[in-house]
Parts: sequence; C-alpha cells; structure tokens
Amino acid sequence: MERRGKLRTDTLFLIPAMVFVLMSELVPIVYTTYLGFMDWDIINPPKWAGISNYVKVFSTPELINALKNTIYWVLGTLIFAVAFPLFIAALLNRVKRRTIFKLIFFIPSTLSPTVAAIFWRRTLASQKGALVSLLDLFGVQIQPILTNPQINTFVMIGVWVWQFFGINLILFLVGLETIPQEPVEAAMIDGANPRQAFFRIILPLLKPISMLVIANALINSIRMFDIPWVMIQGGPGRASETLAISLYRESFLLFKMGLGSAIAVVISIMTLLASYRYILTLGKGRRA
Amino acid sequence: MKKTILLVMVITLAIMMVFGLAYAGGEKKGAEKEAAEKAPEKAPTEIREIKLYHDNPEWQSFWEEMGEASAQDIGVRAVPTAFETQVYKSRIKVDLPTSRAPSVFKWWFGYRAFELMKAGLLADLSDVWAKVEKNYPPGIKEALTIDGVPYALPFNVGYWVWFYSKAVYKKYNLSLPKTWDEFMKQLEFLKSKGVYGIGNTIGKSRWTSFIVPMELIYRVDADFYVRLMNGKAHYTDPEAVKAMEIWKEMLEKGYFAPMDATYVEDLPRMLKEGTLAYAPFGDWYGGILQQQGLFPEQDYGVFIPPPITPRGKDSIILEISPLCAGKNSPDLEAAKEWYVWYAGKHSAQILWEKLRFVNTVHITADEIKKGDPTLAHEMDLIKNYPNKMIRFWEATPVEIVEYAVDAFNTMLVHPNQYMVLLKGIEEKAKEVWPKYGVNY
Repeated sequence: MERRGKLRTDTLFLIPAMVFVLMSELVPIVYTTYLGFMDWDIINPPKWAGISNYVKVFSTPELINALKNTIYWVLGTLIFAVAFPLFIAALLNRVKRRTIFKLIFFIPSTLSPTVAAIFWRRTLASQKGALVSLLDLFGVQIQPILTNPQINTFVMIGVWVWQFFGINLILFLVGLETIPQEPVEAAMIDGANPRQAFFRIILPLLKPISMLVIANALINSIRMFDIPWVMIQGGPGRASETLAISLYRESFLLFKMGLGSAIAVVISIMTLLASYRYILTLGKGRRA
Repeated sequence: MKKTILLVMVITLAIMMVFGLAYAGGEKKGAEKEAAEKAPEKAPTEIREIKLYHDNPEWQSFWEEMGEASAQDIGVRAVPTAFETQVYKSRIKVDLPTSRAPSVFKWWFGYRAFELMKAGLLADLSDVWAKVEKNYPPGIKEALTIDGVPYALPFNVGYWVWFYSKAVYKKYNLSLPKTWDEFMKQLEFLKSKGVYGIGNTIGKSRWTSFIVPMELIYRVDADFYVRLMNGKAHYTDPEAVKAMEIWKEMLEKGYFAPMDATYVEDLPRMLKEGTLAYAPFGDWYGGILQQQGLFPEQDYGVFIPPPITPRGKDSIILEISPLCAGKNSPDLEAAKEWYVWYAGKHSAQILWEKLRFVNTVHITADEIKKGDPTLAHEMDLIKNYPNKMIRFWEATPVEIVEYAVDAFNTMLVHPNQYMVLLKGIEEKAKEVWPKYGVNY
C-alpha cells in the first residue's frame, strides 16, 4: 500500500514534465506527420495529398542525391569521427603526459558548427582564403574547393570530423581510463596478444561509452544541416544538399510544407532506427 | 488570374515607357516645396516603434539611420531586422498571416507580391499615396499597383547594367566593346592577361546564378525573353538554347571569376585591384561598391553590353524593389505615418547619401551628377534603351524561378549539362504555368 502511494506521488511529480514533453514533442510529431500527407504552401489552406510526398522523397533525383549525401555524412562520421578517435584514444592511453594532446584535439569541439563552418569557409575561400594564400607562397594554385561538387561534400565532412573528433576522443579516453586493468592483465598472462586483448577484453568493456558515441554520431550526421548550409548552402545547385537541407529548402524556400514534413518524418525514422540500440542499452542498464 | 498579372505587367511597362520612369533626375517640382518633408521644429517626446524587415544585412546601418531620423522627425522609429535572403522569404510568409506581421518589409514585385496580395496579406496604401504621390515621378504608383490598389512604396527603381573596372581598362588601354564579338575578344584578351572577365559568382548567394543567362537570353531576342517570362515561349526553344550555348562556351573558356567569390566583399575588391573586369548587377550595386570604398568613375564605370543579335537591341532589365506593409501588423497606423515620412525629403536625402538610390523628385539631376557621376552617366545611357523589361526574379512565377536558379547554379559547375538543365526547367514550367491559367 505504502509503495503504491509513493508511486502515485511520483507520478504526480512527473505530470508537469509529461505535459511539457507532450506539448513540445508529441504535438509537433503528430502535426508534422499529418502535414506529410498534405500539400500546403503556408498561405493557402492545406489539401490532402495522400502518400505522394513520401513517394517524392524516394523518387525525386534531388532528394535521392540528398539521401546519398546524408549516407556519406553518416559513413564519414562513423569512420573518421568514431573509429579513428577510438584508435587514437587507445594509443594515447599508453602515453603518460596526454593532457596536451587532449587539449589540442578538444579545442575545435568548443566551437559551434556554424562558427566552425564560417571559419573553414573563409579558410578555404579562393579569394584571400588562408589556405590559398599559404599555398600561393609555395607557388601552388588550386581551384575553388567549395563550389566543386565532386569534392565539396567530402571536404565538409572533413570539417565536421575536425570539430567532432575531440569530444569523441575524450569520451573514449575516459572510458579506457575507467576500465579495470585486472581482466586485461589476466588475458595477457593467459597468452593474449595486445590486439586480442583490445578486441576481446577492452572493446566489450567500452561498450557503454561506444554506444553513446556511435548513437550521438549517427544522430548528428543524419540530421546534418549547419555545416553544408553555412559553407555553400547545399550547393552548387543542390549538389551537396543533405536531407536536413532538403527539408529546409522544400519547406521554407519552395514552400512545399507537405514534402518538407515528409522529409522530416523520414529523417526522424532514420534517427530513431540509428539510436534504437542505444536506447535499448539504456533500458537494460536501468533494469540491471 | 493570368489576365490580372499580365495586365498589371503590361500597364506597368507601358506607363514606364511612356513616362520614361527612371529616376526623378530632372528638375525640381513644385511638390518639393511642400511641407511633408520638413522635419518638425520640436522633436517628438513619445517614440513609437514599428518593425522593419529586410534581406540586405549590408544595409542594416542605413536602415538604423533611417529609423533614428524618423524617430526624431515624426516620433516613429522603424526598427530594422536584417535576414539572409532565403531565411527572409520564409520568415515573411510565416509572419504575415499573424500579428507578428512586420509593419514595413522590403519585397519583390510581380509574381512574388501577387501571391501575398491574393492571400490578403498586404495592406492597402491608398491613403499614404494620396498624401505622397506628388513626391514621385509619374508611373511609379501605377507600377506598384495591383487591381487598382497600391500596395507598396518604392525602395529602389533600378536598371541592370555591367559595372566595369577602371583599373583594368586603364592598365590594358581598353575601350568599351561595340559588338558582341568585340566583347568576347576582349574577354579572351583579359583571360590571356590573367584577369577575370566576369564576376558572376555564387559564394554566399544562390540567387545570383540567374543573372548571366538572363542577360544573354534577352540579348539574343528581347521579345522571346518577354514571351518566356509570360509562359508564351519555352525554355527548350532555339533562342534559349542559343543563349545557354554561349554561356557554356564562356564558362568553358574560363571568362568567369572563381565561383566561390562573394559579390559584397570579393568582387568590389577585385574590381578595384584590377583583377576583375566586369560585374553585371542592378544599379544598386553602385551603393555597395561605394560602401566598400570604391569611387564612381575613378574605380568603376557602367556600360551596357551590345546585343548578340539584332533582335536583342534597345533592351534593358528593370528592377523595382518595393516596401510593403503587413495587413495584420498591429502597428499599421504608425507604419502609414512612417511611409508618409519615408516619401519626404529627409528620407530621400539619406537614401541618396547612403545607398545612391533616387526614387523621389527630391534629388535633382545636378545632385546626381555631382554625387555619383557613374549613375548620372547610366541615366543618360538608358535613354537609348526604350524596351524596359522586368527582371526574371519578379517577372515569372516563383516556382519556376526557384527551380531555375538551382539549375543555373549547377550550370556554373557543369556547363556541358545545359540541355538537361533546360529540359528540367521546361518540365517545371509545364507543371507550374497551368496553375496560373496559362496553357503552356
């Protein structure tokens, strides 16, 4: 009885937060999903469009290209902003005076993506950009980078990795520092080589941190907007557009709110799927 | 609907041609003597604030100065907020149906204003015009009128010309090309000297990609341009294809400045330094050049390139930037007082001194000649171009413009895709025109 009463009190305390979540998250989700089935230009009343907006997301060449670019961002982030920091963290973990390295790698993480994008846009500019001026000193001339659709997405992924790398490195280092040494030492005594110890002992013990880093990386890369928008507005044309930029462009530039909402739903589903395992892990942790 | 739009455009153009709209330019009119423009002797004690939205961050300080001046003169301060153009378009559309609607906002006329008018989001400014019409040259009010209702006051009425670098002309002892072939030969020569020919770039500005293709299309055939804008011609017609082929050749020959250069910061510097020869823009660009430290006739001049075919002669592009008022703005009455002030002499003087804009009769031809000899020269030049056509951005439906702008952006980096891109625009036009009652 006492326990049930406590549960009721706990629930009462939860109500304000639940109302807030309901209003700020659930209502927009439902409304956006509803708009995904409509044609609406903001000015005139919405009209029913069925699933045509969802069909367009997967059949319009510009949106397919945006989907492809988003996949590049996800893969680039997983490889260079998750796997690579893990590798560097494993190496740094053996270095005694590693604070300076932590600091150097962490500094870009203190910038907002917009500031990082402006900084790199200026650095890479063909007119008085720092990189071009530097290369000029050595007699090397390069073509404009950001307006080159063959490379600009990869360059911008590089900017993102530059910014995101440090925080992941720190997280992995924290994880590695908290791993108990006994199981590792026991494995080595039993004849495991360093590679085996890393993959079979250290990596499984790092799982909670790894899940956090991976989920964070996936979510941020799937909804990537700031860097490609600030650096080249998803251009030239629509060449470097990500799904998040398509969402913005279709909704607020072309005023196709229905199509924009359908893209938003697709991005949300992708994000949910990407973070599903992480959410499950959190649940398991709590039950344990 | 189609008829309304066509009618508005035809009337506008006809009136402009008849009255030679342009700038007040000429003699001072009696209206000038009238008191509307006089600042009150006593500064008002109570200051009311109204919202003013615009999409030119480079002009924010100008608008702040205007706000202070109106606060001093009539007790209404227009508080400016600058937005990036893409953000701006959506912000205006989102705010206009609500009580957050700005009292004053810069917009574009033609199709872009028509959709707002049709949705009942623009305030009727007839009562303002009744007080200030005498301050404007003939034809201006009509140019800003839809279905008999004036919805705006002019912010800028300008023409599209090509700014050229005096440094480049002086260094290579050049003279202005008289034929299209001469122009192309000159660009080839400049390239051989390491000078960029044309500054038409997309660094920080997506919209600028339409400038050169439209400059080419109407120089191939001005009548075709008008028909294209009105859904009477096709983007895959030989005239459009020819213009795109010329553009492709120019791009492939490397006549353009690096595409990531910005038109506010980089191009002015390049014109001044003599690393860039030409920059095609509306004459408002002169104000930007001067803000960036360039002097008219000393650092830059203007010229109008020759036609490509005889069917492209005597033609020039006209741009009208209006200031509109949100019908749902809670400060509409104060905004109307501000508009009356805006049409007065004090405001005209600030517009002239800061941006080199001349919309009213308050600025005389002598002042223009003294303050901006390049603009005065342009005023003389355009007298030879009686066929004034509305700019692409306003002249054709928004959906086609936005799609085409992206296609032209792609063209800048993939010139050989011109036919695919034209077909894409044509498909979009086929989809859009019927919505406007045009059998495309």
